[in-house]
Amino acid sequence: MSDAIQNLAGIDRIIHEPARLMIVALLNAVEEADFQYLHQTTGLTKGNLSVHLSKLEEVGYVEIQKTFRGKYPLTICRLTKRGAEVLKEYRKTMKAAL
Amino acid sequence: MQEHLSSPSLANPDTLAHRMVQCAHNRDGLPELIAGVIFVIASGMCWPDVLFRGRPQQVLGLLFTALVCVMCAITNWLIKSIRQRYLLPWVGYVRLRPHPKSTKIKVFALVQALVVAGAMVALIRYLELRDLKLWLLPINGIFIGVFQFVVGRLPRFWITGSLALCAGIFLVFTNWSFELCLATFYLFVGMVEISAGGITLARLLRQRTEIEA
Repeated sequence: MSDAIQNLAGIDRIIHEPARLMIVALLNAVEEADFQYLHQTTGLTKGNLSVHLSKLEEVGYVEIQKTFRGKYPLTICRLTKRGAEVLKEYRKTMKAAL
Repeated sequence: MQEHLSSPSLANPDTLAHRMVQCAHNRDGLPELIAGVIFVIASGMCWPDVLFRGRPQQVLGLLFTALVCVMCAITNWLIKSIRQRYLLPWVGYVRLRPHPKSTKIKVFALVQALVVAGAMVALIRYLELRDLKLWLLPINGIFIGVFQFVVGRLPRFWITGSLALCAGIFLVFTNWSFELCLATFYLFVGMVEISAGGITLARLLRQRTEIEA
């Protein structure tokens, strides 16, 4: 038990932040989603969401692709394999400790 | 949306996220609107049977089957196109990942529906209730309810499914002919679907207006 508690100190802080955790958890449940969808589902402001997505992209947890669907610009976000692994690990650590 | 997500059975974040995605996917009411239109057309095709009883209606039967096949084939494409053309810029785009247990759930729901339908048929035979084929309507209602639950899993799908079942049971106890019952049943289910889809779409549009304001 004490090991499980001590493991909390080494938890991934990028994913631990509630807004980012929300984004990653949502992306984990879908194949891909666009910025607008994430904005509506998470309830985050566009600026806030953009900052968090950039951070997640920077560390390689999320892949962002800018494209067009018809004449509408789409910013498609996908969870990378690494992102999925980190989320799995995060969940395991939290589950063991709490 | 939040009220459907507070259930303790949704403690698993994957399930919760998947349910959110499902809610978002069904928030425009388009699938119900299209299903409603199909039911109303089906009802329209039953009415000549009611009005001109005794005349051969094979052509209408064939037309109806062809129409249902065509509608089933183009429904997905139609919903996708409408969403892409009118809803995408403000509702957003999401591609769902197949649920890992979806096959198990579908098989379970199908078995459940078959068991209930079988039990009803057995009960009807046992009790020797009048006009066996009229009981096809509540059985039809059960299938509509189960199908909607499997596809949507939202409270409004439960409500429309239950209404279809109630309408089917109610019609069994009327003294109407089978053709009239069938036409009324399809019309009722179609109108319920269109109402549910219409209200959902109207709410979404109102939300959009509020956000833009």
